[in-house]
Amino acid sequence: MKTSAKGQVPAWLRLDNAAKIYPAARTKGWMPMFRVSLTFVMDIDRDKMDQALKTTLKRLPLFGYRLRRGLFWYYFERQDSQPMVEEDARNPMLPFRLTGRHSFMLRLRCHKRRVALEVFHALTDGFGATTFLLTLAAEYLFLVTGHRIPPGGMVLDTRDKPSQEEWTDSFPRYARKLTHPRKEQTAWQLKGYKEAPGFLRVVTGELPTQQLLDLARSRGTTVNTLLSALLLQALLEQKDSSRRGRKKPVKLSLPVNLRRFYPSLTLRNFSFYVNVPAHSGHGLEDLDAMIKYISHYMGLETMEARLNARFSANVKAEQNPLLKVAPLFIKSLFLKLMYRATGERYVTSTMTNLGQVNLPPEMLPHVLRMNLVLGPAQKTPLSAAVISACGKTCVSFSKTMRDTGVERAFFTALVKLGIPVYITSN
Amino acid sequence: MSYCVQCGVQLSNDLKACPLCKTPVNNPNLKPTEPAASEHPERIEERFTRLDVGYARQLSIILTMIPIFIVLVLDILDGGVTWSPFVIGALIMLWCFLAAPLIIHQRSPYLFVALDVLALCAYLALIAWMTNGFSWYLEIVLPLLVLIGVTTLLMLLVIRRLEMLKLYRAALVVLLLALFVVGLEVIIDLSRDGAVHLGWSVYAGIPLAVIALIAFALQQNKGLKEEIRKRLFV
Repeated sequence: MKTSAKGQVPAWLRLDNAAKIYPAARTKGWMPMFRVSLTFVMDIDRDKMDQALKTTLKRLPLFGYRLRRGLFWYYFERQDSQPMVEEDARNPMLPFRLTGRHSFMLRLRCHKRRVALEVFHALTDGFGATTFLLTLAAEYLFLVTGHRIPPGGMVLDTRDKPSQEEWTDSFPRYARKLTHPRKEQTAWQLKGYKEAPGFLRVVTGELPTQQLLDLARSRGTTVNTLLSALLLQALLEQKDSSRRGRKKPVKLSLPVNLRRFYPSLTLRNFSFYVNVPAHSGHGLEDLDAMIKYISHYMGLETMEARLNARFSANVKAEQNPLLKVAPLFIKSLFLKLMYRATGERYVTSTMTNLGQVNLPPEMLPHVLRMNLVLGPAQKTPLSAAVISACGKTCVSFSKTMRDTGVERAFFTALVKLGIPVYITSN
Repeated sequence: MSYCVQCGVQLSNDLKACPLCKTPVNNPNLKPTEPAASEHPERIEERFTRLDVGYARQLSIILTMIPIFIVLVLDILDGGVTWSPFVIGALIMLWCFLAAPLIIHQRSPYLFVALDVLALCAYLALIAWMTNGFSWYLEIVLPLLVLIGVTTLLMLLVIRRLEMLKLYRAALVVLLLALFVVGLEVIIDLSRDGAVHLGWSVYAGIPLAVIALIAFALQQNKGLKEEIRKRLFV
């Protein structure tokens, strides 16, 4: 791939395998995105944040690319400008301009003590975005306090050179020949009164991580399984109270970080998902039964060979010669239809869990909490995201519908289990 | 520091109601003067649209002006303004039908229905004026259009009252339809004979009113509803 005088940073990049569908799937009022935010103890100094952003982009140039149309595929193009630090808004994650000059695939937004990174999903996944945000936060703290945060974990050293590993597409690298069919059973869908267009309601519950861990251990499971079990139960309860689509299962999509299975250092998309189906009347109202069901189901589905066969199917589909030579506008149409037909019809809701983010100890006194919010999906009106940092686990529901049954059932179940829940909302 | 009395969750200080169950926060210990520091900014961002409203307005007006101008010139060259007002009126009406909803960022449909009816009224008035035939316009066309407009608006109002039970809404819509049919005959009779002799509309109106009453009664009477469900289940 062509690299410029700037050393190792390529002038343009192909989209990775998972990203290819996103630019095509987006519509006028919607694009797939998510938001990672970090709340400092002190109010943010915008100028310092601007400087920190400049340094961080030098270390992680991938985040400064912009999206462009080629004749056959979309591609990312390197550019020399830098995104502006913006003032945050009450309604997060409105679609923004992607393809123009000086457009970026991310927005950095500040409000008082909080800095939030909103990212177009084609650029990176939750892991990549969190790495960028934490590296930025560490650099910002260095500028404010004068003490350098020692790099480690997801905090990268801004004095290092960018590494090629960070922008490689890992899907084709680890894909094998064996594929698994992608067809699944369609899922029951939540329906309800809509919020005002362009307004995403976010309800965040803050839970003490240690208590949550103790609870999960006492039930012989992990926090992730416990939370997904509670959400799946809440969804089932919601379905049973509605009269529609009794035969369809409720399906919760659980993203899986593939870096757990492969030694990849990429900061681009490298995750997959497992859709866990649940039917009412199978005894899953009992929490222990649900936990057992999910852990067994996930155990089976997250076997390396099986996951590999599933994402290999996507890699193979991308190499279809007919699809390859189709002009972009035809390809976009095709991919959009594919997304409509398969993407969201297979899930009732999503719960992504970034897990425990270990901040360097020097950073802890300056950081209050971290939060992760998924953008609205095109059709499914409710998604959930979980992140643990600084001893707090934040569960954020983002919704385009007004009905609050699911998150209420979820949080009250936690309260009944003895976990204190602290609720904030926009 | 308040807790929701229903959900048992602790609520952030800036919340006036529990986001989970909408129960208002009522904490007598919190002084009402205490400022609630929200983590969220006040500003609500506008949705970025590819359609720039000002530009679209200008463009649609220009696109309408071009044929208007051509028609006017042709007509004047032909010897005086004779037929061009029909075309121009139709173009303006078309603009009201098609371009206005694109430009006006109002989600409520009432405005558009009212605008469409008004545009139609105005265009037909223009035709009446051009053909020196105001009698038919005032006697039948205007009352009919007003009737249609008012009925449509009322139906919209009923259909959009989502919090009302479905059967009640259906009953009201059917009732409005019955009234519309009767109104239709009244207008036709008045314009033709100058007196009202209700005939066919009664036969159409009575079944409609009965259907509305049945729907109303069904919703009122839980036992009856259950009885029907019991007898008719498959």
